[in-house]
Amino acid sequence: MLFNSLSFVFIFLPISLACYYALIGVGLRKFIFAYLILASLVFYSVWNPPYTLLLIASIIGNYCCGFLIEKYRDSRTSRLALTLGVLANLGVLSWYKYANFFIDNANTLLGSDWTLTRVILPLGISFYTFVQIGYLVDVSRGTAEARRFTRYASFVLFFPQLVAGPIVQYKEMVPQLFGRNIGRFACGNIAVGFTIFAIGLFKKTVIATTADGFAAPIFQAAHAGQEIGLLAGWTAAVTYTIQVYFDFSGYSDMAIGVARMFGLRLPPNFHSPLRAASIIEYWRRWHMSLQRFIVSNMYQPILLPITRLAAKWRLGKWSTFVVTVALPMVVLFAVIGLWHGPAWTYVLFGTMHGTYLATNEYWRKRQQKRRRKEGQPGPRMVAVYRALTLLAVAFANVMFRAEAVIDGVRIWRGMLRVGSMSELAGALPLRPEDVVAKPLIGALAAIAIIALLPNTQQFMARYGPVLHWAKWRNVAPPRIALTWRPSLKWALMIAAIAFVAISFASSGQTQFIYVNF
Amino acid sequence: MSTTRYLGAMLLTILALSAVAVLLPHSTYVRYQSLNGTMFERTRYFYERLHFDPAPVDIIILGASRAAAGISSPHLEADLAKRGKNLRVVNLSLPAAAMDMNLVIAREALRERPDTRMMIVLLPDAFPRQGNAPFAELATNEDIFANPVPWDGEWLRALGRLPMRQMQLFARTHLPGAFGYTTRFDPALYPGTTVDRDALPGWKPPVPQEGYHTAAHKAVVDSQSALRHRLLSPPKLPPALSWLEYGASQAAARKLIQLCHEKHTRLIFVYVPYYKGPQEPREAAWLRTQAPLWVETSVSSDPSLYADSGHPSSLALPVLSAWLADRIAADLPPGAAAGVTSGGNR
Repeated sequence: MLFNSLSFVFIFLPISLACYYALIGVGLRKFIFAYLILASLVFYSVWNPPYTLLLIASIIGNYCCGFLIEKYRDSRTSRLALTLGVLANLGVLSWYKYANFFIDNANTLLGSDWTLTRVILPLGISFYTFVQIGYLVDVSRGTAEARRFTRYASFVLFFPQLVAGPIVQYKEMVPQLFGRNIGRFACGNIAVGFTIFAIGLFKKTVIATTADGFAAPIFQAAHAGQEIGLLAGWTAAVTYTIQVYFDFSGYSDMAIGVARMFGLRLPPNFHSPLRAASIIEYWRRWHMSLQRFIVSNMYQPILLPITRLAAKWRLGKWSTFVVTVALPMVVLFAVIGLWHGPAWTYVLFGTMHGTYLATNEYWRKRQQKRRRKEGQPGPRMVAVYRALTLLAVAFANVMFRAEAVIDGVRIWRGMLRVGSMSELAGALPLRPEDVVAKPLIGALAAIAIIALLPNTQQFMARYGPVLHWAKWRNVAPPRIALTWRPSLKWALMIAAIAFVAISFASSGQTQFIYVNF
Repeated sequence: MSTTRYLGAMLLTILALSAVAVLLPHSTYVRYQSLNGTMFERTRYFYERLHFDPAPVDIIILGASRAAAGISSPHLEADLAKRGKNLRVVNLSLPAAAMDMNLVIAREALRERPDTRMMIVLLPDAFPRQGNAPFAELATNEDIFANPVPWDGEWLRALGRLPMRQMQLFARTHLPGAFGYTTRFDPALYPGTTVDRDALPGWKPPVPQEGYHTAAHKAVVDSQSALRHRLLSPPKLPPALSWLEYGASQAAARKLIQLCHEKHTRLIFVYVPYYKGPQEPREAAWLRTQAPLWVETSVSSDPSLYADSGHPSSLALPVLSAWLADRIAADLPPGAAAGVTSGGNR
């Protein structure tokens, strides 16, 4: 079931909320976890009931691994259980996600004719696999416990984050799920949660879906082998960048909002990444829970041995930089690119971002001394950096969206046809109907929202919208500072936003981009 | 403001906005174009035939794809003419149409053409349990609100979609060019007064690759028929609860009967089974108490008369047309409705 479906908005959500607070109301608080597990399984099984068994098996398997890791802590058995657990998770993920990809590529390389029945990708497998790998690592580090199965199952299954994140940690969810505050301040939490949910739904159904209407035909044309012009190329890059941001940040808002209606806070997933003035900053604020996972479970574990190796080899300053920063970043991001899906477009997208990051780190190191002397860059330079970051992101997004590498190249070629600048005049809305038929006005409106307005967390800042909010409270403040509070003005505004968002949702449900991963 | 009041104010605002949206006016012609690009695209033609074509409408055919494939207006008009009845026939069948959709189209047709003499409704093998998907796009507010079936998914979908649909239709009516719509009838694009079944856009009757008189074709339709028979599941609830199981169809059928009665239009139910299908529709007993039920089963054992198990082939057109013309000619009083031919074929 998806958050933007009418059956979720009008049936599942109200019923699950009503039963939840009714259980608390009649003093059955201790059964809340069982209820949440059941509701989450119903939520998940609507998509494909047999795959719910895979999810359950995965949870049982990981719990057993966690149990062994904790029981035999600091022993060989514990390390073995951790290794086996991580490998088993990656094995299942690889089978469902990459088996066909590897066989297709092997056939191309070897000229063989191996076939495999097309495997259906289980919904949310990339996310719940990462959540559980993170859990095993946390148990081995002693930051998570493996005692009660019900606690573990509630933590993994909690439906708002189950399908597409944010990728949560045991230590931040279980104290909330089993704490004493569960069910308190119901009206306040529902008001805050619904407001966040409505904003997310609006982002998805109104902005992202509209942007898709302009981007998709151009990507389809590129896939059909058509040459792409300058205007079409830039339209594709800009509208898809708008789409993917509002789609995924909208989804995250909805997840955070739904969790809040149940009285729980999730970690943030976006913090105005498109206002970032560097790629490093961009990745700190884009899909933040994935970045936290990468840093904690992938980057940090490889950094120490590599640094030791660089010291052992007595590498120079820049060689050390290449070995300890640039290379790991490019490789890690290529892997993260592949995590998005079994396609070379994703690998290229990841490699591009890895290269961007390495370049950005290099630039930052070079600028360090200068900045110490001359201070931080002025507003003009920051504007230039922002433009450059957006440009780099938009270029990479073209490959992220393309169905094949050659499609992305066709669109890039179109974007670089500087000889046909006169085409750009075609973007101007000259007739009243062009306001909706052409993307310019809509794109400018979306850019204004990104550039000027507070993000959802900033808008809800008074009510602690997400976990770890103190860390982000003062980052990237908006030009127009709007903050929500329960007032008539905001009731009318949010109701209008919810009405439009639900109306757009009723036109036909569209998939979330990240749900496919 | 307390959060409880905040939530209440939001709820009221959403309801108020929904009510305003539902009341937004629009062009019905634009609404009948909203299925363009889908298998239901022929609805635009329905509207144009009813509203812009001056030729009279004497007989309306309603039904689903079996009616769209099996009843040819030119054939039927010619057969009626041979029997001394110059009547104009319009086939307003829509693929997959359930009773709710038949009612929507019948209402529009009789609103514009109240002098229609006969409404022929080709029945499904059994009433569908659910309404029809294009109902949400084509139904008027009255169709939706006057016929509430809250346990029917399609009715709920239509209700949920209504505010957005009305806003879209409002925008399309006022900025038709931006959305690829038109508010002006273009005679050059009009398919004609009496058009054959293949001339309309959208869904087309199937044509078997293997030919009609081959053993391969017989094998295909035999297996399809067996599958169709298995899928024709008996009622799941006892007869006393059939209003729950078949509520959408039953309610729409009753309204359709009532509508024809009010407009003094002769209502006829017709049943043509699928290949090797049942001898009469499941609801035959009740339907016979409401209007005449004409059943043609002689075609149902000949595989060459079916393009697939559910749809009559082009070879069946003359057979069904002659059979129907006989019945209509016998049913209508002598000398009734000498059709005016001002529109003519285009």
